[in-house]
Amino acid sequence: MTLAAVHALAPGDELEPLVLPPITRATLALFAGASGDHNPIHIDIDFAQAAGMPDVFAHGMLSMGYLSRLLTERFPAGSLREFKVRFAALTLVHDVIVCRGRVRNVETIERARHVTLDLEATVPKRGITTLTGHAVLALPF
Amino acid sequence: MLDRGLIGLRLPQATTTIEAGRIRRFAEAIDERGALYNDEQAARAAGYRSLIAPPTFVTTIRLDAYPAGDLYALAGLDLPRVLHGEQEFNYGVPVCAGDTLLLESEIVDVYEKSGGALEFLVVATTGRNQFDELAFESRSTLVLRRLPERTT
Repeated sequence: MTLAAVHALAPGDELEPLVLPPITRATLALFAGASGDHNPIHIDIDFAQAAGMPDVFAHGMLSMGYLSRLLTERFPAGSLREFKVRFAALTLVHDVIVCRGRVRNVETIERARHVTLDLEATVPKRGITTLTGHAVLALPF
Repeated sequence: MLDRGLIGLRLPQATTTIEAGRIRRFAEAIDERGALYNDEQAARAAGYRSLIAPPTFVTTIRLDAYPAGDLYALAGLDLPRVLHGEQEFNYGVPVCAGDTLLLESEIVDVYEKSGGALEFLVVATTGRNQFDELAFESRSTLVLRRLPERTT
């Protein structure tokens, strides 16, 4: 998005959705090592099953990382002030995640435009929402 | 059951130095291709000291400074029961490769829902850089679910 387009955002506007490739076991192994979250419940099916799960499932922070790309790919670096999510449902192997953002509010505070976005990650094929949250960005004029 | 006496428990201060390779590997794992997260020259040209950390890299900084196992042992958490319930970040100055961050972390809340079927532990962490600038505040809510009865 150009800076002009970012500044023109108004409540109700939707960001172009980000559609991710299907989650694979390799995605999870790579994320475990790269993120430092080594909880075996995400990478070791034996451990997951002993913990009462049918299979491994994705790290919540993987989805939050994907959701962050909605922001980093569209807004200037350093403009993100606040980013919060609730992990509403587990993301499973083979899930195709779609990340969406919609402008909730725009206001001018101290010579910057503050944009509040409602965010969500969904798995349309299973009809579920896995993450809900919001972000606040401060865009200097 | 979690002890509400854990509220206010501070973890020891920890320092961690941010490696460029760690940022690149993290960016790769979430397929973040922005030049500022992958190309040091591009980041410097944009006015940063070096590569900058993607927004959710904060959790990796926290885990590098405070291995999850340490917190689990301290709070008596049973790893197979732990899920991530909520995550909140507030951002100050950008985190750049080469920065040395001082982290402070505290258990700020412990509560339960559904008659104890779900227990919650909230950990707040702040990171300040080598210039004593606030880089981030993180608030993580861990959920402890009750494990199903073993059938075998």
